[in-house]
This record gives sequence, structure tokens and C-alpha cells, in this order.
Amino acid sequence: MGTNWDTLRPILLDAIGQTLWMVTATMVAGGFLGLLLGIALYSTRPGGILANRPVHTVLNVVVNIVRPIPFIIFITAIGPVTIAVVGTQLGTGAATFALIAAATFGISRIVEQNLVTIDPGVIEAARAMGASPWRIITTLLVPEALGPLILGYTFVFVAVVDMSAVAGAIGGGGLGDFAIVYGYQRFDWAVTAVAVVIIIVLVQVAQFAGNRLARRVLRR
Amino acid sequence: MSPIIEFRGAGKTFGDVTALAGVDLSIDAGEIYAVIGHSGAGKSTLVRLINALERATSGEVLVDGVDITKLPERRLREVRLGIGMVFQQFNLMRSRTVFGNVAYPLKIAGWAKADRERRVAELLRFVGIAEKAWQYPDQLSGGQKQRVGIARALATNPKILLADESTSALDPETTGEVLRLLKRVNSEFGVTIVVITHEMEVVREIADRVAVLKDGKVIEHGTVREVFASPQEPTTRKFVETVLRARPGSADLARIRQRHPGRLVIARISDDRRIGTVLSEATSRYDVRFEVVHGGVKELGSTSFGSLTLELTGADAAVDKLIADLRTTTDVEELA
Repeated sequence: MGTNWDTLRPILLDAIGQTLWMVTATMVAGGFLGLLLGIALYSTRPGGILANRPVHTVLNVVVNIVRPIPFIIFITAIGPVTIAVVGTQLGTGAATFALIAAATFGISRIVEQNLVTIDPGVIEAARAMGASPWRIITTLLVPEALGPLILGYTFVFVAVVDMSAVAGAIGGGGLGDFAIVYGYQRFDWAVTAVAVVIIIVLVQVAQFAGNRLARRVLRR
Repeated sequence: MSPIIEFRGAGKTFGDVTALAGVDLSIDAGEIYAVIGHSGAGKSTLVRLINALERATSGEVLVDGVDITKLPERRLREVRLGIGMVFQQFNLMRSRTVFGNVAYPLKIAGWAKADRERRVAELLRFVGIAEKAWQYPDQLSGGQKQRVGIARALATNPKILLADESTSALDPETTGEVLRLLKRVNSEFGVTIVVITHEMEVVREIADRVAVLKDGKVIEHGTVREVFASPQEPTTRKFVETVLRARPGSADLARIRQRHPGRLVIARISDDRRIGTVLSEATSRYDVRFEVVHGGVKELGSTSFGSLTLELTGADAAVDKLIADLRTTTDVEELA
């Protein structure tokens, strides 16, 4: 059985477009929300610039509950919320919403971990200069941790590509779905291989760009 | 002169731990005031009460006449704009250049861009690192980093500068340079400087007055001359001896005793306590020979301070007489 690339090509292009859309939207929206949540986790910890034990405990527990749920289960379990927000629990939009939600919690931990490495003395110096907590967050925390943050986001990018392959479970399409439906289920290894190669290229390009950017920021 | 900083029964506890208790100190405008103590004595906490990085849990801390322990956080930020701070580990932002680090407090204070640029250039010239403006802290030596730290602390023209162990991470030569720079800050701009240190040498080099902190309490304070001339507390005496080498340590003493079997006495030296005249007559009048076996003399401001350990050899009664004679001019202590 030969592979009919003429019919598959438009489907493959659609799948690539869906993956790129899902990953990009997740990195932008989830990246931003994860940054906010990570900063909140970091700032409210005991001894932090906005130390607040109740808030910190609540955030911590919520993140710890959501993060370990396998994405294949999360994407279906979040269904009611997806319907409320997106209007449907099927399709690329619904899958993207689930991806953004999951990524937000995952990224928040990575952001928190990177912020913890900032020398507390530098933050104390800023406080001694009369900087407000908000100013410290915007002009000190993020710039000081930018290099490691870029590497952290690059790591997340790969994880998001991985998660996006599950989108097919709720009709979200994408390269993962393409590989399973047109490759695995039709015993057509060539199709699977093509999908795999495209994903590998996508990940390589992202990792390369992330490494370069981080090196520039870190001046090493 | 009116005090610019005043502690009135100030205390600080962290949970069950008392870091400071009942501190009463007043620091005059324009002076360099040192606070010395061993690690854990509460020095760092004390200095942080002045800009309320730590809030006193009891008593009052007055800065420019205002009790800052009662101020809300927002008002404190205004107070902090008038107080610069220099740190042991410099605490510079790695992501910003030297210029960016020094400009940072000016941004917080809301200075316009052109004013910031002019001020930063002026500050970098003053601390002597104008050519490093576009380098990053990682590329600087410890001494250069501390110069950036000082420039940054002075940016907003503060009246008070807090130096928390500002030379403890530096080698002796660089320490001297940084201390001279702090002295210039004081003499040229009239900035009141509070120096926190565990090194008596630092106190000797730049301070006008000193307070000794032990277990969260001020155990002694006074002008540096007074404290060096007649330290009252054992802790203070030990600090003074680190500079003056007044008393041989037990290992030194054992070595000295091996070679010098005579009686050993320690005589304190200062400009108005001269032992030369008495000693020059030791042989002719008492038939007692003397040997200098330990000691040192240091400059302190415009006067000299120190002490010498002498070996006195002769008849016991004669040595007693010589010691009595020495005691008429200075303090003499016989080592058992």
C-alpha cells in the first residue's frame, strides 16, 4: 500500500498549522499567566517582598493539585470549564484552552524556581533605595533572572509540543493526531516518520533559538 | 550638635530570639559612627533599624527627628530615599551595567533621563571608575564593585550612609582605598556615615565615635580615642588589642618566656604617657636591665597609642621600685 501524499499533503499542512497555533498560543498566554502565577508564588513566600502565608499556601496547594494530572486526563477533566470559557469542549480552540491552563501551572513552578536563585541581597538593596514591591517585581526580578527564565521557557516549549500531541483526544488535530490517525492506525510508518521528523525539527529550532537568546542575555 | 539618628530603648526580636535589646545611641549629623561587634552581636539588625529594613519591635528609632518605627511602608520608602546603603557583598544587579546600577535609585526617585545621566557620570568620576560605566559587575574586581556600590548609595544625595561590613569582603589594600573613599564622602559632602564592622582597624581608620555591641546590647560607647585609650569592657579590650597588639597571646607569651626569664610587665604608651625617661634611668638608678619583647604603637587621628611588653631583669626589690616609678607615668600590668 503506497502512501498517497497528494491527498495527505493538505491534511499534513493543516496539522502543522494546528500544532503551531496551539503551541504559540499556549506559549504566549500560558507563558504570561505562568509568569504572573510564578511571581505570585515567589513574592508571597515567607520572607518574600509580599509575604502572605495564606495566599502562598492556597496558590501552592492549587498548583500542586493541578500539575501532576496527566495531560490526557486533564484535557478531558477540564471539559466543563472549557465549555464555559470556549463554548465547546471539542476542537483546536478547546484543546488550546486546556493547554494554556496546564502550561500556566507548569510554568509557574519553573518561574518560581528561577526567581529563588536571585540573590536576596540585591532585593534588599532595592528595598533600601525605596523601591516598592511592584517596582522590584517589574524592574529587578524578571531582568535579573532573564537568562535562566529563557532556558526554562525553552524547556516548557518542548513540553508543550509534547502535550499538544494529545489534542487529538478532543478533536484538536495537530501533528500528534495526524501521526496516529494517518500513520499508526493505517500501519503507514512513512507518515508517522514524517510527523516525527517535523516535530523533531520544530523542537530543535526552538531549543537552538532559546539557547542562543539565553547566552546573549547571560553574556556567556 | 543635634543627633540625626537616635535610638531610644530600641529592641528587635525575631520570634523567641532577641537580636537587640534596649539600645540607646545617638549619632550626630556629619560624624562617622562605627558599631563594632562579633558576628551575631546584632550589628546588621541595628543598622537595618535605621532604614527600617527591619522594624524595631520595641522602643523608638528617630531619623531626622521622626520616629520611623511608626511610619507606614509607603512613608518609609520616602525616608529610604534619603539614606544610602552599602553592603558587604555589594549586591549589584548582574543584569545591569555599572551605569544602570547607579542610575537605578535615581529612577526610583523619579529623576528625568538627562538628569540621571549627568548625575551618574558625576558619581562615577567621584568614585574613580568613570571608564567602567558600560561594563557589567561580573567584569569588575571587588574594590571596583564596592565603588559602584558607594556611587549607587550616594546617587540621590542622601544625608545618611549606612555601610554594613562594606570592606569585609576586600583585601587589606582595597579596604584602605574604600575607607579613604568613605572618608571623602563624609568630608566633602558632609554625609553622616554609620559603619558596621567586626574589625577594630576599620574603626581606627575612619570613625569619630564607636559603640561596642555584644549579645544585642551596647556595652560601651564613646569617642574612638577614649575607647582605644581606656577600654572598659573585656570585649572592647580584645577588640582594641587586635589593632594595638597590646598583650601577647598565650602562644606568644610561652615563646617569650622561653627566651626571657625576667619579670614581664605591660606598659601602656600614649603621647602623654612617656616611659622613656624612667627606663633610661633603670640601669643607673636601680641596676635593672630591660628588654622590649612585645608590643606596638599606632597612630590614631593625630596621636599615638600603644603598649609595650618589657622584660625587667634585676634584684626583685629593685624591679619593684622601677615598676612603681613607671606607674607614676602610665598604667603598668605585671604578667604572672
